[in-house]
Amino acid sequence: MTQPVDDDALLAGMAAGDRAAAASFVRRHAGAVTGVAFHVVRDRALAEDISQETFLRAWRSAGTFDPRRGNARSWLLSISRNAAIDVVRVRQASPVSPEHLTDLLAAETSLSAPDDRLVAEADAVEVRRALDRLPDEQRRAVLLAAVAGRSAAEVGRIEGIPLGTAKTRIRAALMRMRDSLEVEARRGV
Amino acid sequence: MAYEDCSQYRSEAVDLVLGDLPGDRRAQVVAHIEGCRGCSREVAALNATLDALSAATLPVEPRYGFVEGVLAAAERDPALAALTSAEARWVPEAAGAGWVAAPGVPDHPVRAASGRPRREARRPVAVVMRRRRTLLGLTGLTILLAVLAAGSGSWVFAGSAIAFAVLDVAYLGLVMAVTHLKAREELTGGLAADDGWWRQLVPAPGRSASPDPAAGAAPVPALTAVAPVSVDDLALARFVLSYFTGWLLMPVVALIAVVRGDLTGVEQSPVLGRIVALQRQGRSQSLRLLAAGATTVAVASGGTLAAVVAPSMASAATAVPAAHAAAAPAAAAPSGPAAGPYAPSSTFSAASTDLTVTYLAQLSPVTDEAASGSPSPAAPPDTARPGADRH
Repeated sequence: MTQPVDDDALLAGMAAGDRAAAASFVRRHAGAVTGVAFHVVRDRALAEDISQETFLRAWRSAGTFDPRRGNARSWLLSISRNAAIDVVRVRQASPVSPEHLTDLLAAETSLSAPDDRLVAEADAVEVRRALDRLPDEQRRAVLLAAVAGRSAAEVGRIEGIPLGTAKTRIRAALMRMRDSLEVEARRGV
Repeated sequence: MAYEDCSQYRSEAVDLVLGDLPGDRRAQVVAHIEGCRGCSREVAALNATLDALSAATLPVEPRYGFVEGVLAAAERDPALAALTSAEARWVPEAAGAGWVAAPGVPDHPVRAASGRPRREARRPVAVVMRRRRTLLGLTGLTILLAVLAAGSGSWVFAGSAIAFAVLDVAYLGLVMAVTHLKAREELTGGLAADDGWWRQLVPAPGRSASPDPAAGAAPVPALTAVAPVSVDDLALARFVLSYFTGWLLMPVVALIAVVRGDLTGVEQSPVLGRIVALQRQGRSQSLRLLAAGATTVAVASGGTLAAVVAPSMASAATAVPAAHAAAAPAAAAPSGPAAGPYAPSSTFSAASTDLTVTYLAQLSPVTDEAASGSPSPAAPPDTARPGADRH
């Protein structure tokens, strides 16, 4: 069996203008990138447009990507998420149920490489476990902000709470999740 | 910086990572964070958690043909079009990722994987033409010398005809071996487009493959392995299926183009878009296969013909002086041409046949390997891929 090529190597190839590397990179991450955009914009066609723009931005910036500062997948997903947020803040944001957002977290993924799939599934399980440990109000706030791409002000409006409270909930939830994930990582779960 | 000074910035760190801060305020917060280790750590923690949440969201597979759409959009993008149309040579600094090509790794695989620039695309044809001219020249000279030998009964012409016949067959053998290896490489490239030269990358000298510990970044796996790429049966089956599907769908796509006027926007239709994408994919496989296969078949066919004709001509040429010598024994002195530096005709025939057999035997590892699928010991590691030569 062929071994999957490292994302950093694919990005390096893209920086050198290699279309085959770009095709592999896009094929590998298209589902995740489109998924992140879709959960923010709630429109499949628009999510695909954002996904395409995400890959073009990544390709343009591939030459400046430094793997020592973070992994390529996170970098790519943050581009997608920010692009989707930019779009949704220009348009009228569609209503979203915080309870429904939990279902958007993957129990499994459709990554092409088995190793990647295992890692992603394990990560998803850890994230869900960390979310489950949060109080309901914090979980809703962080899902609205992080997954649905809502601003703190929008979270406040949706939840019927002041802006400061919304920020506090989001920040507290993110920090608690971070602690939980670190604990999980130390346990080697 | 004291913690009290950071309370406001830490409150705004959430806005920062969620992208809620306006430009001017964002610049102030970023400037503070860059100079404050505590705030920097907090922002990194918030970002890492956001990344974890993003990575855990349910993927949504885009429509079929999405990858081709991105590549097509890249061609329309001025910055990327310039990048992809340039000579796709490996430029370590342009990559900016701390990796360079391994010393001695040829740049050919890079271009093979990326699609050769238009200027380079003519090179294989030129090579084939040059080989064809050389083969034709050698065969023509062999025939000419054989005819001259038959006409004049000169041993010099006969010897030259044999020498050129041997040279012709040797050159043919070399061309066949090289062509076959190139064809296998092309096919393997098509079968394992996702792999290849990447794993020949090694960390740049003087740069650590490990992350900077001070930066606190996640560990980066080092790319050191130069493992051979294997192509499994499933990949081969996919390739063959895609190849035949491309041909089968060609009239369907032509019909779609005639009915619609053109194929612009056809990808918007789930069924038609899929048909066109399948046909395009198969067509690209077909071109790859044809480029590799046609060269092999053409050269091998011509070569086989020459291998049959040239030794026969040489043998015929040697037979004529011998006949001349036998017909006029009285005219020749005992130490005449028949007893000259060359052996009788039967020996010539045997010698040329032996040489032919020797050269064919030298070719046999390649052809045997093509039949059995087992790699040749002489083949380079990345071409010794099971199933890669089934064309």
